[in-house]
Parts: sequence; structure tokens; C-alpha cells
Amino acid sequence: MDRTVAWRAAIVAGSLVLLWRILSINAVQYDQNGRPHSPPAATRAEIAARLEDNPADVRRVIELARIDLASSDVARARAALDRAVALAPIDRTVLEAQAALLLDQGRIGEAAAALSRIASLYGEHDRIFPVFARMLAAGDPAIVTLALQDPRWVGPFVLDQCAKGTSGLVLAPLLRRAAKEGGGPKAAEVECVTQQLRQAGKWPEAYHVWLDSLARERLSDVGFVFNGSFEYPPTGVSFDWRPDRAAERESGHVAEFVPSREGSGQRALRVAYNGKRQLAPAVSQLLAVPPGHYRLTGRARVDRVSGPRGIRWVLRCASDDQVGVLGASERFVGSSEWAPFSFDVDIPPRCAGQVLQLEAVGMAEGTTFISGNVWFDDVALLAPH
Amino acid sequence: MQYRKAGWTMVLAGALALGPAVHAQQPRDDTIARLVDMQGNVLVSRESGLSSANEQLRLRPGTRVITTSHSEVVVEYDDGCRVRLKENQRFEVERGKPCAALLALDIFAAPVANTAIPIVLGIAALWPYGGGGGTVVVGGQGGEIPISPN
Repeated sequence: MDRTVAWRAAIVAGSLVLLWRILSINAVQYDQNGRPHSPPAATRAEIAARLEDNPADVRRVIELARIDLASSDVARARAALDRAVALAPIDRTVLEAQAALLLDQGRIGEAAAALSRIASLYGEHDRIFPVFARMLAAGDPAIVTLALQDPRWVGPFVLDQCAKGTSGLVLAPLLRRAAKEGGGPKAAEVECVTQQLRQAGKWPEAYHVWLDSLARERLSDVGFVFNGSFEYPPTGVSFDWRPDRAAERESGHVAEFVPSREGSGQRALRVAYNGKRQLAPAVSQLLAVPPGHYRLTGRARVDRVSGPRGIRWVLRCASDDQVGVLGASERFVGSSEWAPFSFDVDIPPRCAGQVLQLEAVGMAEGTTFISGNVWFDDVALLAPH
Repeated sequence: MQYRKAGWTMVLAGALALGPAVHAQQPRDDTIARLVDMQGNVLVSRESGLSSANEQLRLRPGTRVITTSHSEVVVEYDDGCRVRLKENQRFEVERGKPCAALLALDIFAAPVANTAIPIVLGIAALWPYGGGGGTVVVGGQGGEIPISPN
């Protein structure tokens, strides 16, 4: 019994010691950011003397720099910080002190580089992104120069700023970083920036940002309708094909790019309708076609498509609600082998952006149920000679 | 004398025969310019939309030329006028305009703040032991960057 009590007392005592140690570390010795609390004030001479005992004490070197800066001795402050950087080049405290000193001196480019290292190594996005945002807004070239090196923070920064409504024109230069080993701008960044530009009515600029994000081989034949032969998987981003993302049980259709012997390539678009109500287009693509008269052409195969009015391709103005439908195809219903189809399209000057959709006819007017399969290939929008 | 006349006739005939040959070097289609000094990805508009261009590509009036990032090209008109496109610019090939009026346009006209923007860091936020602190003013491209200490 006595032994048990003794054990329990020992455990309690040990726990108290451990608790005190935890409290000491977390609440007494370090602040909420994990930094040591400010050391007791000391004169420069005292710190210098302590540094003689331990020249590698980075904290004291930084303290020395702080005192020098406070007394406007920038040269000595910088020398102290250079020493700290030499001792601990990736220490967060050192990098932060270095960035602060550089900003204080107005050396924005170098400060941005130091902040970039902090952001890459330690995150700290909440504190550093506002600084980068101000640099970006001010048109400071340092931030773009850094971004082009594709450090880790750029993607999160673009998404953060895009979500906060920063102009797509301001963010676009950050997307020009070259893709290397899985780096470069991510699809989410391109989508957010181009969407922001489209919403601002800057469709040509959005289109250009998207063009810039394409791999070189994809630029060989961009076309007014991108990937109209359905040879490449759809990305669902910006001006590429956007298959309906809803689950088949909800959407009533599945759009896939499947192998096909028809058309100019090896694949075609196939949409399978399962007989359920159609609520959204099965596939769509945003376009940024200049004003003018065009002809949309393609090839289609229809397999037992049943529904009140079938399905059709529709090109609408997406940048101006007042303009509406710019052209529509024939209705695809019943069954037919591969055959060409085409329809005329007139794009007025006020319509900078358009959307091409494959949709059930009359979907917007009432309940529409469709079943069957359709294939499409070689969809293109042609300008007159 | 008759030999001399015959000689002149032959010279004239030769000149007439050469005339069309010289003209034949000009394109017989309706192109009026070509792409030269091309670097990077340059796109031109065709019947079915944009596609990448090649050096020496002949251009019709109405063709749009677009440069992407890190790209540039020169549109060289047959009359010698040269229009240089730097990265992210567009140009439409036009006929009948004076050379000086043929200009490439920037696709991105990034809105840069007209006035300097203070970056109020409260440098204490970065400075590990407090102290410091200041307002750094960034902007006014090409100018000095003033500092206004707190």
C-alpha cells in the first residue's frame, strides 16, 4: 500500500515537473510564435563581450544589429547581420532580421529575396503575402523577378491574391514562370486568373494568359475551337473543353473522349445519355473569337437518341447577357451514321467572349429527358476567306 | 548599222523578258509581309483560328500576329517597313498605312499604381526582438525609393 502511494506521489511529482517544463518553454521562454522572448536589455558593450565568449551566438549578433540600427549606425548593423547570415543562412530569425533591415533601407529587391526565402522555407504566408501584395500592386519588378524563379510560395500567393480579387492583369506576370520538373503555374492558378479577367470583361487578356500556359506542342493548332478533334484529354480549365463534372446519376450524361476511327485523329467525343432529366450541357468550351461571320463545322454520329427534341450544339455570347444565341446546329435525334454538320455563326463586336455547349434542346424551357449515345469529331469554327 | 539595230532589239527584248522574271520573285498571292527574326512561340490567325507560326511565313492583310511570353518577332512588309513585336503583343497586318502608324499593341496593360504605395510593415512584425519599424514606400518606377522612418 505504502509502495503504491509512493509510486503515485512520484508520478504526480514527475508530471508537475514535466508540466512546469512545458509551461516554461511555451509560455515563459518563448512567445506564441515560437520565438524566444526578448532578452533582458543589455548595452552594446555587454553583448559584444558575451559574443567574445561565444562568437557563434546568432541571437546576440542580431541583438547587436538591432542596437546598431537603433543608434542609426546602419553600416555596423549591416555588418552584424551579414555575420549572422554567414553563421545561420537559413535561420528564420536571421532571415527576418535581414529582410527587416533591407526594407528599412529601402532595398526592396533584396528584401523581397529574403522574404522569398522565408516563405519558401517556413511558409509564413499570412505575414509575408501582404508585403508581396503591396509590392505587386506598386508595380515593383522585384516580386515578378522572384516569381519567375518559381519558388514554392508563388502558386499559393497567386491563388491567395486571386481569391482576394487582385486584378488578373496584375497577377498574369506571375504565371509566366516556365514549367520545370512539375513546376510552373498550376491549372487552378490559370483558371482563377482567367476567370477573374473574364469577369472583368477582359476576354482577350484571359485568352492570352491561357495561351501562355499551354505547352509548346499544343500551340501548333490552337484554333478558334481548341482540341476540336478531341485528341487530348480535356483539362476543364479556361478555354479548354469542360465536360460536365456532375456525377452521371445527377446529370444524366457522361462525356468522354474515346478511341474512334472516324475523323482526322484517333479519338472522338462520345456522350452517353442515360434517360434521366438533363439539367446542364454535357460539355462546353469558352471561346474568345473576334467579331465576324464564321461557320462551325463538325462530324456527328447518332445512336438511338430519344427525347422530345434531341440535342444540339449552341454558341452563345458569354460576355454579354443581352446578346444571347449566336448560332445553333441541327438537332441530333434518332440514329444516323457519321455525317458532317455545320451552322453559321455571327459574332457581334460587343461579344468578346462566347461559350460553345452541347445541350438538350429546350433544356431551359422545361423538363427534358434524353437517352442514347452521340459521337462528335473535328469540330471547328472557320473564318470566311 | 543593221547589226547595231538588231543588237539594241535583243537588249530590249532581254530586258522585257527579265522584267517579269524580277516580278516573279514577288509573291503572286495577296500576302504583303512576312515573319522574320522569330524567337519563342509566335501565333498567327488562320482560317480555323490561331496556330503557331514559322520564320518567313507570308502574311495576308487582316492576319493577326500574337507573341507569347519570352517570344518576339518582326513583321517585315514587302515595302521594307519593319514592325517589331516584343513578348505579349499583338499586331494586325494592315495595308495602306504609313510605316510609322503600324504599331504592335501590348496585350497586358498592367494597372500600376500612379502614386507610391507605402508598405507599412510595422517592421516589428519581422524584427524578432521588437524595435525598428518603419514605412517603406515602393513605387514611382525608376525613381528613388524614399524611406520614412516611424
